Amino acid sequence: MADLLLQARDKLIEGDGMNGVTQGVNTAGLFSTGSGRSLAVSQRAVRRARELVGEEVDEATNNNYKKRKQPFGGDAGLEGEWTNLHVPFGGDAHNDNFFPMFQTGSGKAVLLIKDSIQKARAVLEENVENVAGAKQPMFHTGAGRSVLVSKSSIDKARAVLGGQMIANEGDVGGMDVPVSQAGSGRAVSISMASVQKANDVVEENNIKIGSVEGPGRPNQSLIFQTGSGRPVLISKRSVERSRALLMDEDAEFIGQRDTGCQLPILQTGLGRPVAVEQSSSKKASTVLENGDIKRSGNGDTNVCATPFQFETPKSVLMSSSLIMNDMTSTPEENTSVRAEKCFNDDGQLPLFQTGSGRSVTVSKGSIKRASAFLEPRNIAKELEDEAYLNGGYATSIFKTGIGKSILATENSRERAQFVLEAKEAVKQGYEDCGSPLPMFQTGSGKSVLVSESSVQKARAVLEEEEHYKLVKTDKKIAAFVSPLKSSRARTVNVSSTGVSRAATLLGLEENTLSTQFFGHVSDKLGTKITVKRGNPEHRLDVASTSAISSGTHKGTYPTENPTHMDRHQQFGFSKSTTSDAGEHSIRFSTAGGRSMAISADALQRARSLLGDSDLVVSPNDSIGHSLTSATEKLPKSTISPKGDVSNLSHGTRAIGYAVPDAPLTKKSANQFHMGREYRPINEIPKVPKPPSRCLSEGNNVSNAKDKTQWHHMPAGPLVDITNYMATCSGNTDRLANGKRIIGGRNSISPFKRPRSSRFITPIKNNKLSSAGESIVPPMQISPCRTMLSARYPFQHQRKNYKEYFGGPPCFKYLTEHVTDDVKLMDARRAEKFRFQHTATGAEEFQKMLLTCGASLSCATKEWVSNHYKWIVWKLASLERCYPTRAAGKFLTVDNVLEELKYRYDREVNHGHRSAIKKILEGNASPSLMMVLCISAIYSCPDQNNNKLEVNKVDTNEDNNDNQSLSATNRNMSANIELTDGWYSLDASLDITLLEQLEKKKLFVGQKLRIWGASLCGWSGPVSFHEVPGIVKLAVHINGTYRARWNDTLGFCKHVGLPLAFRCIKTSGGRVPRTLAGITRIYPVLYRERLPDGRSVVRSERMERKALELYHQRVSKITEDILFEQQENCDSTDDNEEGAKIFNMLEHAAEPEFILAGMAPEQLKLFSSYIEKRKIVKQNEVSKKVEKALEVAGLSKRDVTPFLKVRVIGLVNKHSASTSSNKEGLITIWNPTEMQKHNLVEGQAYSVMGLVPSNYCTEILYLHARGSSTTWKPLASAQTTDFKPFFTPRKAIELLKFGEVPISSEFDIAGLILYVGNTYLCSNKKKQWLFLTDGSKFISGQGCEEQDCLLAVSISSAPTDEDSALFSYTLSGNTVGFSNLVKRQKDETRQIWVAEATEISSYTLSNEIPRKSHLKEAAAAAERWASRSYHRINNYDAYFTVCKGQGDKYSSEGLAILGWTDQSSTPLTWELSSLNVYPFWLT
Amino acid sequence: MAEPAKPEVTEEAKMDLLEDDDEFEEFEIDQEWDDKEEGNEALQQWEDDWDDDDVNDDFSLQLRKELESNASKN
Repeated sequence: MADLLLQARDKLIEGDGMNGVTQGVNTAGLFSTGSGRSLAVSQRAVRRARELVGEEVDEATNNNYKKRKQPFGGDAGLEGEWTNLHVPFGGDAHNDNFFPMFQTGSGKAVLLIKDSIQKARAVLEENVENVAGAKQPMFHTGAGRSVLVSKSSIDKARAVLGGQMIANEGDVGGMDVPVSQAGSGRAVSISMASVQKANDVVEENNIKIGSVEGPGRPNQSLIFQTGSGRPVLISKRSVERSRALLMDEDAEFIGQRDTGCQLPILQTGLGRPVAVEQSSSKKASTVLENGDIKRSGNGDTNVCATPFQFETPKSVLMSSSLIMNDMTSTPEENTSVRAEKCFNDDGQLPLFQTGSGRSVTVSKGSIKRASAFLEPRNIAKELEDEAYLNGGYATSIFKTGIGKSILATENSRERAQFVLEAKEAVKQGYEDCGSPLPMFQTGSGKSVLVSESSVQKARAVLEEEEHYKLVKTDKKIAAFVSPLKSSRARTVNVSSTGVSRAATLLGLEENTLSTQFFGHVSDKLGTKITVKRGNPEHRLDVASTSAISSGTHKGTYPTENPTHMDRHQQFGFSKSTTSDAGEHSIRFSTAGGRSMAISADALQRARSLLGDSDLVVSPNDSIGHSLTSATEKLPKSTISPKGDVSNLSHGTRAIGYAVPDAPLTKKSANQFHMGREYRPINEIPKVPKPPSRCLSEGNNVSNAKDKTQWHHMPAGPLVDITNYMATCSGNTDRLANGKRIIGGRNSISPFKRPRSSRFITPIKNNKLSSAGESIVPPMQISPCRTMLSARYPFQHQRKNYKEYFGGPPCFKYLTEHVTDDVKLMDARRAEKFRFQHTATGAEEFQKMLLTCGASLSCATKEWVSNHYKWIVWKLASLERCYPTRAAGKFLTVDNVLEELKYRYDREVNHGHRSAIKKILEGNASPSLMMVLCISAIYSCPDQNNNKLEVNKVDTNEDNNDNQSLSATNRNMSANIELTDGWYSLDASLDITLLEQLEKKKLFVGQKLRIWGASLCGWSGPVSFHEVPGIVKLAVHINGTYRARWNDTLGFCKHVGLPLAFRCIKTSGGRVPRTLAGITRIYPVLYRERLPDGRSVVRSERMERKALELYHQRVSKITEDILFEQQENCDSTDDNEEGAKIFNMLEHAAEPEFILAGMAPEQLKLFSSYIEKRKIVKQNEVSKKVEKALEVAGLSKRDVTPFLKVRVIGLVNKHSASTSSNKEGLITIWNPTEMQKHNLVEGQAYSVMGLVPSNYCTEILYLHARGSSTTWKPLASAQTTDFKPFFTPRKAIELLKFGEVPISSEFDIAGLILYVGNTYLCSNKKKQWLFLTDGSKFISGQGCEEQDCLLAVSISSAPTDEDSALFSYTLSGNTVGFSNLVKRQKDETRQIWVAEATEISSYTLSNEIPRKSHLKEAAAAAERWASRSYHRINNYDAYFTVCKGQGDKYSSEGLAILGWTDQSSTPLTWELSSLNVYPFWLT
Repeated sequence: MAEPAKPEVTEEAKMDLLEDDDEFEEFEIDQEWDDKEEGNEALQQWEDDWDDDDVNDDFSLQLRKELESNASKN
């Protein structure tokens, strides 16, 4: 709605004073239907309507009426008609076509085009019967929609406009509004007020309304519109009643209407209907009535929710009602005074009760306003005196008991006024219609309520002089807009001391408090601030209206002329109150860039916490719009708090409207804070666009400009509390919408603009030449978040070093162009560097920064010095690296200052932090990948005698020797200093990096890409200047790579490249990321840490056994203890009664009889004893079990599963390296289930988090934790560029076993011929088993019986379990083995030898998965076995004999069958120990 | 590594057009982009082993020489 209004306003032709006032409303054309919807009616249409009813167009004979140019150009006649009008301030007239807006009852704006108006005119001109009978005239809305208006509606309109009665429409029982069913049947209601407006439009005489016996039906309601644009229904009757209460002559009417059952309904600003009981109205009347201060019981008992301090000279809190009271022109001053007195007596406000019984406290101000409504004549009179100040900008406020403001717009008041205005209004003949809301019906039957405001507008278009008073009255009444409404409708109270302080700050005299000041404050907060000075004779009430002072409005009409603020505008303002209030929320930006809206209320609280002096808040949202009603002339504003009538009237006028001597600009909101005496201290006479319109006829142009400038001035020292980059805190560019929008800066130069054009280099000022001179005014050392530089955010693509300079630095061009300072510049020298000629150093730059608006709390000495160091170093380095292009051009004062400002902006205003700062402050992990630059190298403490003192520049500098030493000492544990260009951090290198340092592969200026680093000595957020010597960055070589010379410093926004597997250093720490292909995955193993410190690794099968055994032992111990406990429990010596019963029962021959004869109490005691005994027993048992298990070493098993994975590094196909891929064996401790199941052999993975543990020449051992290591499989497309790494598993036949390299793993499936006994050897349990796959026999090759057997040695750590490693029962089964390791062949017996390690596994043939590579081999072995019965029997016999002998030898530590283990490997075949020879050798 | 001829650039333009290597970008630090970035493109590896002397540019060598020469001047 506000937009529509603004739009409509935009199309207004500028007029002078009253003309603008009246026509503004008219041309706005916003008619409001009974339901509040807006209907746009062109002025022309209204004019035609007026013509229809016999009026003549006022040709501006009145001095106050200056006709404006009619924008419609379609109708020649009309055009000619309007050409007579002149535009008083020519050149500014808007020629836009505008669609006058009518407003429907629901608030919807309806545009009516000219044709519709013409039709209406035609309809009205013709005989009603003729028109209605033949066809329905078609109206067109502005949007082109056709609206059929029924004949009856037209009749109504005609009747209304002509003062005629429509007999057949009258007395429609129960109808609120006249309703006709013509057209398509939809009812259209038009509020009485609207009709009245229309009537006013067409009536020759002012508000001469036809004979009406009564104001309407009991439940007839008038649509008022609130400031937020919502319709407020106030029944005419209620208003009448109120009026009757106040006016004796109306009492009879009230009495007649009292029979109605409906309660008058008022609507709050939020659109909520509020029914007001008659008693409440009576209370109101009582309050307002002359000489009658009696109040009803309700009023007496109810408590005013709003503190009411009206007359108190030192009033701290001024409610809006009070302010309203001040601003409201009270027609009967005595009444107002009495009311005030009345309220002052007990500090309470009368409570009104709604129709639903809810109590509503109405503030005094509201009542006073009501009284103003009810006394139209006086209002008119007042208005004449008030000279139309403030018109149209304020909306009267009703305040409920809970402090909620109820806005009543001018329209509402108008309606009220019309209702109560005169007898004519009372007599208006709507009884016949049965409704005070004239209802029109469209052709489609839709009801259209035309609000009174719309009619009023229409009336205003055609208004005669008689209307002028009323219009003015309306303006005056409407000159309030929710002063209490903050963005959340809260009341803001400002103490008088605060205001005084503010006034003092502003340099105002005691009696002249800058209205602008308060305007800004209140404007910002969307509140009304009322201040009472200590001097009761100089009370100053300041009211601001958020709507008027809305930044939006101002942004749209920056050069608003006060005379332009006509009724239409105020209408619009009132409607935009809500939205405006929302706009007053202030946005903060957190350091992380998140925006946060702070309500004005919260801000106000914050301000109160900070003290009253902080009241001055940046009014950046609404500069120039803070409408405050401070007095323009203090003498006039002087008022005795309890003055007489004249005083009150005068004071009210003076205080509330402030510009009593500018009658023609009475509607100007701007005037209020353009008080000539009131100029802000920090006014900046910079107005981007001078006002193009004069204030009024009474003001000359220069004055107008001057005032307009003040109008745009900020008030007081403004604190920009936002840190948005686009915020212009210079308090000058406030014309635009004050909303802080990122990137919304009006950027003349969107990025780094030439410095010379941005600011005057402070160094050029003489003031700056002398160090130590305070050149920073105190006012500028403020916490303002001032944007110092226009560089950021960068909005244009720029060139990096390589693009800009064309390539990497080339020192061979280093010429004499480069000064020695530049040539030798390093970070340490940079800190002390001073520009020649000006001797400008870090201190001077700090002053420059402060001069530019930086905050001293942010741009501290340490801060400036730190950044100065890095900036100077960088600029000097650029000059040194590109001497031919940059020598003498980069390291300049301007550049350094600009860089400092840029950094200040980013840190302070944008909250951005560099990588090191984030790390130090705990907001970023040091393990993230970042590029840092070596800025210094300290001596290595462990190698003081060698060549690690690389940074000779530092050590050789005479002046800095001591500092270098101290720095060296300070960083004894640190090796280098790293910087991100903004801050620095010491770093400690691992031993491998130290080696590189020694090799001078680490040097100052080298950029490092660091990944996976950690902080040492960091316990919490720490400032950058507290870091040296305390916090270090521990870097290791596996996460430290040499970066390119032009890599951007700071955190990397992309994932880092994986370190090639071959580049992993064993002692290089954690590998952030690498690529590896899995070649083998071994079975999950279980490592148990034994209580004695040893550890046992078991296969899953063995772990199951071990676990089973453990449980068996535990259960046995538990059972034993339980048994013992059972025996011990008999000897209980409990003396309690339950125990006695228990013992008695135990020893009784027939306990059942004893139990039967026991008393209930005894039974209870007995049962409780049993329960207690049970618990005690359980506790004892569990304790004993615990102890016993501990003794037995079975208290708790410490078992950790782990998974071993053999991997191989991936090598690019195009790699020139001929070296073989590096292999690794990764042990994943506590592997996740995902890892157990998803890791696949042959798949390449990106692995993060591996830690190398050991390294041998062939294989790299790494560790990983299941939870901390991620295995991300690479897509097949990603692996195409890598060399193949995977050899799939296959079953080895003994026939080809010779091809298997020694010590390599192999898989085989075969028939187990024999399982040997276990024996102990070297603290290991060992066992031999023999198998064959028959491949030798199947092949039919010669020497079938040679190399046909495979002896597998199985070993395991000795445990206390007796079970064999390999079950004898497996003999004769076909089994698939995996991951056996080939050992040296027993050449003597021609037996292949292999070893089963912890990673080996076997699977029975029937359990081998179908897809397994062993499946076919196992099947082949089974087939061979099935047809080789004889041969197998021979084997059995042989091994049986061996077994008998082996038993004997095994007891002596010799291996069965003569196999012995001498130092584990190699196995030797000792023939001498055997009495039995293999049959194939015999 | 000859520096190509470039048009004359004014001082002001330098700072306006030059993107310094310390102008970090403010972005949300999370690891989500880790997953997103890895698409179907062939992965590159960081194969610059510290033990290798062949760094990706000769700037390092030049800088080292320059530093050493500066040190000798002192």
